[in-house]
Amino acid sequence: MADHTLLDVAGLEVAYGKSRAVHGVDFSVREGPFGLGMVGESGSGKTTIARALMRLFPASAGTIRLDGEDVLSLRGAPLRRFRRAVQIVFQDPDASLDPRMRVSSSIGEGLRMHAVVPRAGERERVVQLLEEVGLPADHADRYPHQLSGGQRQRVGIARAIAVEPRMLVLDEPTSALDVTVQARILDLFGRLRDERSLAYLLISHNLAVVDRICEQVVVLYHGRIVERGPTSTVLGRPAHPYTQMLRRAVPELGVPAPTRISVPTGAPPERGCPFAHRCPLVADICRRTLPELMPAGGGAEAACHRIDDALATWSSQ
Amino acid sequence: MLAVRDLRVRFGPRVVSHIPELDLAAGEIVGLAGESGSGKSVAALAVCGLTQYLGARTDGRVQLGDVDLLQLRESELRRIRGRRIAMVMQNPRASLNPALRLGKLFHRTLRLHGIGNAEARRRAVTSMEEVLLDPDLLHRYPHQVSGGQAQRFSIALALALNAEFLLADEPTSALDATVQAEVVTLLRKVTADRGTGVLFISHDLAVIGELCSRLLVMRAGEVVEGGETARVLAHPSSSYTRELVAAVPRIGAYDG
Amino acid sequence: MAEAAAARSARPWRLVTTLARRDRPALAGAVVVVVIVLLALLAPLLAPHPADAGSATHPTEGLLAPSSQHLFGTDQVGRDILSRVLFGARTSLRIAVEVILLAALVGVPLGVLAGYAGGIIDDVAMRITDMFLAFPALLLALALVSVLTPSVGNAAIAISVTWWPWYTRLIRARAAAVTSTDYVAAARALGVSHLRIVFRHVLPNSVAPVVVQMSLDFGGVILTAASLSYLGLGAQDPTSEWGLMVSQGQSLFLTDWWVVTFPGMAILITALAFNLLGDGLRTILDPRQVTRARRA
Repeated sequence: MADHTLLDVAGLEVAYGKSRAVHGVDFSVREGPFGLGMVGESGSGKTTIARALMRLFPASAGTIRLDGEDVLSLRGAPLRRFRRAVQIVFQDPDASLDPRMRVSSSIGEGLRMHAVVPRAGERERVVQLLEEVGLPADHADRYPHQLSGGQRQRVGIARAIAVEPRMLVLDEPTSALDVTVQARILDLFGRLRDERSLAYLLISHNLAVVDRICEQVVVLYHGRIVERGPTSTVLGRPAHPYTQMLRRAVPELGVPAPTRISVPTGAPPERGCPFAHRCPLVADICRRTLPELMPAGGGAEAACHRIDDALATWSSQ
Repeated sequence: MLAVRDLRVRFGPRVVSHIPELDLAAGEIVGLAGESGSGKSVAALAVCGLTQYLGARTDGRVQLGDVDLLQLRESELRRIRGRRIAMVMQNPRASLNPALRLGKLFHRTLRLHGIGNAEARRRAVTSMEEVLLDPDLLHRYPHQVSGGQAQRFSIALALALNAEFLLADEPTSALDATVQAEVVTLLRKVTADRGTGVLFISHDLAVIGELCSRLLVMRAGEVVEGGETARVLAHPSSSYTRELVAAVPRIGAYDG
Repeated sequence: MAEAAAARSARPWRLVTTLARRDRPALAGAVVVVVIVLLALLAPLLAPHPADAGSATHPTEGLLAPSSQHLFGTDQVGRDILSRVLFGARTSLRIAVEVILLAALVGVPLGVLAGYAGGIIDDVAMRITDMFLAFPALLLALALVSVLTPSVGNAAIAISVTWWPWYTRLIRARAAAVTSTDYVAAARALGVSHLRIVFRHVLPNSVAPVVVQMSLDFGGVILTAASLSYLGLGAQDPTSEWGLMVSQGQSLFLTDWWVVTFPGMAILITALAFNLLGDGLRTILDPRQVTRARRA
């Protein structure tokens, strides 16, 4: 596996007006084949980060570097090159395709835009791409409303890989799909990753999906990274109380559910750890000082003042 | 408490949902699992007598206690809906009138079913507390509370009316994992404390596995399998159920 | 799903058959509109006394009641009313087309720009639009046309000025909604230029309500033009224009009823036909109306 860093994000901050959605986030994505998962619930900032990365939404501070080159200040031809290198697959297959354009036009838009193939070869390439994502060639002339949700998602994937990107941002790509369809799309992602040496940034609230595709994972809470590290470590032995809560909250087949105590939620406090008001291990220091990311063993890091206690609690269950 | 027999919902000549047999006892949580197009949501609507608004024809028997819901007139059905049957839907905020404060909505609903003013106010507070919501939230509008809070509010409403049967149609699909866990715990508590019967509809087998003692698996309008949850999920007899179970992503099932 | 129905029925022939099945009045409207258009186009051939539509006068044959020679009778200066009504159709349709095209040419780009760009451009555009909307349309048109010399052409310009804001408002809402969709985001992520996005994605997906409104507006514009002419500020004699004819004949209503009745009926039937047609189009193109119609 290549150790070269493809995308490096440092100190990223994104705000909606006065309200900050992302507070100084750092992470990096390695050259493919590789998968980085970004896990968090609604309001965690994960979708905002995806949009900022794709330059679909302005960042208020921080840097994003692709191959060392700052992405946020690009214009013109270099920006076009960036757009070819990093593509995105959206969550809702019903909304991600122009309802008035045939499949071939939707996929062809990128091909034409970046002159990936000469005009004459466009049709052939579209068919190739369709086959690569598991769709029959005759679907090229169909309209989105003539396809199922899973098929539409495959078209979205074909559109993204048409420009031959090195990295794909996957924004909850299977959340809107039925579970059997989801499984097949995840298989497709696995196959494409190896065949095209892709780097994935997979954004999901579903820990199991992340576990399947990503070697590394980052856990977000209220716009901050609270834990990160190898997926097997973070999901198998979560060090941060929030990750533990997430992990416990995920229902698993065949595993009887432990009784969970419901904790009412409110707005995070101004100072200190944003998770303090929900944390079962909260102490005085937590309310006063914002914790930094600290090693938690197994290659993982967690932003918590009481990592050792948290790990002990987890092991005892 | 609830017995469904030979329920068929038709759009024109096509049967979109068929349930030959479904029983729900007091205090029991039964699951209806299936993907989109399986007919589970239509079946749910049929059980509440709501399919006529879709222009569908419904045949069969839906026995709630001693009444067959499908034989009732609209006026009688209206009295039963809310009082004896409560519904919690997928999109919590879409089912709450955005122009009314939550407290007002509560009050109106209770008054509609003949509960007096003072009693209504009392029940509102106790129900909110039962679902672990701050009664203060009653002053807010639906858009001012979170999805999870709205969903818990719907359950509180169901509780206040002492409904014997709660229909939950994908109540957790739009919610975060931790919030989903809260709602699941709450539903379990409610059935245990009050003996409410719950029909839980979901495409998420894992949640059904956690919550329901029995389940029915539907596909393309038909029931392909049914029985005790533990048994069905561990040893599915239908190939479709097996496919569904295999498709549920699991943590730790893969390397790296 | 409803989007599907809309996309499917966008193909022209399907439009007609869907209309025929779902909305009888709309079909009737469509037929009448087609007839009116044909009559207007063929007026020079169909009119028994085409010169009467222009400057010819026959003072000796004034105010003749309807007969086999003059099916609609003659007016005060002996002009054949049937011929004038037929040519009047040309005038009315011409005004309607001019006004609606001009209004759309101004209103649609502004609305799309506002909806797509958002922010300060949107604010400025909508404030300008609001300013124009603040004036009662007819009064504004009257004021404008009295500043210019009354004529058919100037009436068209004046009405256009009052008409465009509606299209702007209408399309801006849709354009804003389309701009926030994932497929537009996908196009931006691919690096497609703003101009291309607007023409390939935003415009096609937001134009439907405007098209419907445009067909509904034919009737409204014809009425407005007729009103202006009636007040003496639109078409001038000897131009054949229905509103002008009504104005000229109204004092004779009790004695020589045909002078005012036939042009009046023409206005009524035309406006009604376009209205019905527009309603029908809305039924087909508006996804929500489709479900309602199906249930009925």
